[in-house]
Amino acid sequence: MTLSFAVIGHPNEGKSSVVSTLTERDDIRISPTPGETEHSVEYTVELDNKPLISFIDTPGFQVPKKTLKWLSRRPLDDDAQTLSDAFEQAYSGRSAYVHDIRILRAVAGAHGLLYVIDSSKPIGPDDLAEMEILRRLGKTRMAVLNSKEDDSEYEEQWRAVLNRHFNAVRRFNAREAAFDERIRLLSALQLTDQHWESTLDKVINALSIDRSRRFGSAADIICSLIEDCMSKTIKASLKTADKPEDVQKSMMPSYTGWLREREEKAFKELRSEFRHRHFEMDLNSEDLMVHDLFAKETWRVLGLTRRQLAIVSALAGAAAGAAVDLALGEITFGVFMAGGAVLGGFSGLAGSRPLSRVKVRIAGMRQQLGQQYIELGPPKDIQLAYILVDRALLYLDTVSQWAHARRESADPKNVISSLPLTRQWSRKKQAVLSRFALKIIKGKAAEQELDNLRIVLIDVIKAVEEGREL
Amino acid sequence: MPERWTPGDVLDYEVLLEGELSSSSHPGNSRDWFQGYKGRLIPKRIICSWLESRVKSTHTVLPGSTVNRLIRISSIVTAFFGLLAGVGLGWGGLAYSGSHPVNLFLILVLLSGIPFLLTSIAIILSFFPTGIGRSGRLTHRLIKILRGMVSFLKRLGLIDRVHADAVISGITRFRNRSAIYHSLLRWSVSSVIQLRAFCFHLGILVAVLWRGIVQDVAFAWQTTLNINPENLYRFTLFLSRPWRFFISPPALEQVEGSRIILKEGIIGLNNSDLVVWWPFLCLLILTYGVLPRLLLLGYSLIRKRIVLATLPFSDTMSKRLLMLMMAPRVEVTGDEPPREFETESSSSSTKSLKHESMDFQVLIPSYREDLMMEDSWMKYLSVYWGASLEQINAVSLDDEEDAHLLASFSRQNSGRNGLLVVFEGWRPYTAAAGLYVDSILTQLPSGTAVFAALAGRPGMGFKMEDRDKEDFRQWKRLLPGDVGSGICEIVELKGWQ
Repeated sequence: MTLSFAVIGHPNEGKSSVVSTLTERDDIRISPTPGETEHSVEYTVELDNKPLISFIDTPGFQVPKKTLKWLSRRPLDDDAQTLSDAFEQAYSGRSAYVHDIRILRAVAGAHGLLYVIDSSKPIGPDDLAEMEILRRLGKTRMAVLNSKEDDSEYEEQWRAVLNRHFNAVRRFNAREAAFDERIRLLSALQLTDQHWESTLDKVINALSIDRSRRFGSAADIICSLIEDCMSKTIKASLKTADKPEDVQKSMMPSYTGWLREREEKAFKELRSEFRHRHFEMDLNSEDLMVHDLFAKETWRVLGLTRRQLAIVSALAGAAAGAAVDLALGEITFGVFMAGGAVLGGFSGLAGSRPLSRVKVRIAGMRQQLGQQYIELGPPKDIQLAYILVDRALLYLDTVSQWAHARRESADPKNVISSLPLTRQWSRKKQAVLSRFALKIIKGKAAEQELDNLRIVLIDVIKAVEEGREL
Repeated sequence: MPERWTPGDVLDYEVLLEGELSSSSHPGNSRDWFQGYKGRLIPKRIICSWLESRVKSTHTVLPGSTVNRLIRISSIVTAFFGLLAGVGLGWGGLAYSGSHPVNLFLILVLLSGIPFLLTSIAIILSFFPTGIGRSGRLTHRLIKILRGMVSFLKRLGLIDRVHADAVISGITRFRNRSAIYHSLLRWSVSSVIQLRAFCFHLGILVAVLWRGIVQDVAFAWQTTLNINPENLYRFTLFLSRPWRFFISPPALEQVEGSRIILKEGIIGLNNSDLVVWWPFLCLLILTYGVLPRLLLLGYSLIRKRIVLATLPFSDTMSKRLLMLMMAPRVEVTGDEPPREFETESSSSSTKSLKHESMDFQVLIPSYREDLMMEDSWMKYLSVYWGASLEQINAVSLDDEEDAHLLASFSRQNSGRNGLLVVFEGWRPYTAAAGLYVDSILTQLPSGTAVFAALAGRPGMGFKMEDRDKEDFRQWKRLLPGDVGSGICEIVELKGWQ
């Protein structure tokens, strides 16, 4: 059974916004100009090609009082389809009635109605007429208060009237509704009609599974980003007259450029995973937290603190040293472990500057023959991995919560507070990322570490989603 | 599903995987396929079946079959040249004029010592965990060589352009994923190298055997070092340990008998002592050259097979593919129709109606009591318009409900009367307002000055809040009327208190 809901309302109350957010379609035309929607358009949510639920975006009522007047002259036992057909017949060819004809047609074909109102506006006679029309059409209906909580001065007044006309009344701010708010709306719809329970159950279940899948994909995208960036090398040939330091310096912009592009590609993948085609968030603006990937400010605010980085690096160094000690039958009495810890600690302290350490290697045949080359990369400090993860999570957090009806550019400052940055992670979680990054830097296979990082990332992403502490 | 994975299958998989994950035109292909999948829900099984079905159905030229063919051809070519080199070395090393015996030490070092050393290095290397890592230069060099080979074969016309390009793009993809497939690459390359080495040793053995069969090859030894026959005998005993229980190595007397002492020359040498070294040499090459290489070849092939058979498909891209297959696909269909034509603004004309010295009837929506202040209207019309207020009427703004009022206004109109209709400009414009204005304009005599004023929210008078500005603009754009012919103009009541 495919459930269909006609989304009805006065012009410019946000019907298209509600449909856009409910269906995750950011290509639905939304405009502050009233009357942008001229036709009824059905958006169907399909599960594996099987239509489950559809939302019909309708134009706004244009002549509600006249429509109501006409309806009141009709026999009481006329159903919605009969009324719609008769109304169309009566007013066909009259341009003022075109939208109302389309609305009645949509209502007649729908199982239920979502009546969208903006509770920041007082109730007018047209609104009362519209509610009466919907009541007269006899469909199960829910009123949706599409406004911000702090911008709904007439909400009580509205609720008092709506409760008389509708089976359920629910606030749903289409421009800010996150995933759980959408689910709550669908759950509320379930309660309005028993016949819808199983279909809506399927929809809610499918959306939740899809959401989890997206988080998994997002974690994979971030893992791939770390993998690619932490193993990136570029090469340039070294001629007789070239000074290696100069060549290295000239290679840096293209190296960092590649990393930036790779990050942008990951962001694009995240956007597409959450079905945002027009979403924009300027991570290179002048705001705090959203400087360029290699800006000093980014490296100061994101990633681990100097102390954390020193500890994590010292632990990693100690682990590597301990392996040497073990290999030598422990006759070294842990000297390598201690040395590794000290070296790691110092390198951690140095790693709080943007891309402070990148491996440089001069190799190949003789310089005179022009066969020598200089290789830049991979990055040697793991701080880059933390910065990349932080930025990706910041982006993901915004993009995953961003309602599809919102069309302005995102301001990351609004979401940063809820985000557990890597420096807020437990040491265990930080170590997982460190281990993965170090293995990648060393060019070793890191399947187990990749799995562990994936689990950590999914846990972090879900914690943000569920609003729980890490 | 591919019963036995080949490197070509892996390349095909990578190409198809990339296409599937980056496909925006056909999202959910893999999910569609999965819904028809009846096999066991084991990731590897699923991927194998998916690959098989995709290979069959795709219209893209895949590199797999070409790669497998190239591997076969290169193996044959390598084996052939290895064999040729071995035969050449063996044949040349045993070049025997008949006047002087073959130098035993030289031939042992050349045909057995050096190859054995190389074999030992190969054995040691094979136990190293990795020679080709994620960022391993060897990987990149090998891939570069492979790409070069394909380009060369393309230039020669041995592979057509389409297949060559498919292989090159597949190899490039493979390079990007070498972190996952470095073991496969390592053992694939190792297999070819071991095949070449095995054939090389086989060639040496064949040449030595052939020489011994068709020629009467004599071996002798001499040395400036202090090596006595007993030492050499013990050394031969040591070397022949693997086979000496079946075939005896040269006896001490034979070792002594094959020694050339410079001042005595070769006259006193016994022929039987000189030819006894041939079987020893053959067995030496077989034991320390051919067999170890055969074992290494087998080991490489087995490792390659194991790598192919145990590909974990646990990388992030494969996991994404599996997720795409297994998670229900939620999609939204529906498209907006094209926009209808825009209604032209009626107030675009610059010509304004005159309102000085007119008597105005003001029509205000009945629910806007805040605007029904007679004093304010009188003052406003007088000060700002130079007009006077005739009457304020509470109306419903419905042409049918207000019909009697409009009719009476029409009857009383003396030509000096004007009409000012107040609409709520902060609410969206609707066709009902248009019908109302149309009704006024059709009922009143032509040339009657009809003005419309747009009120703000309750309590705001005629001020528009920022949030309502768009509605206000829409009213001005859509309210019907024709200023040019002197009817209906939207006015802003600036200065209204």
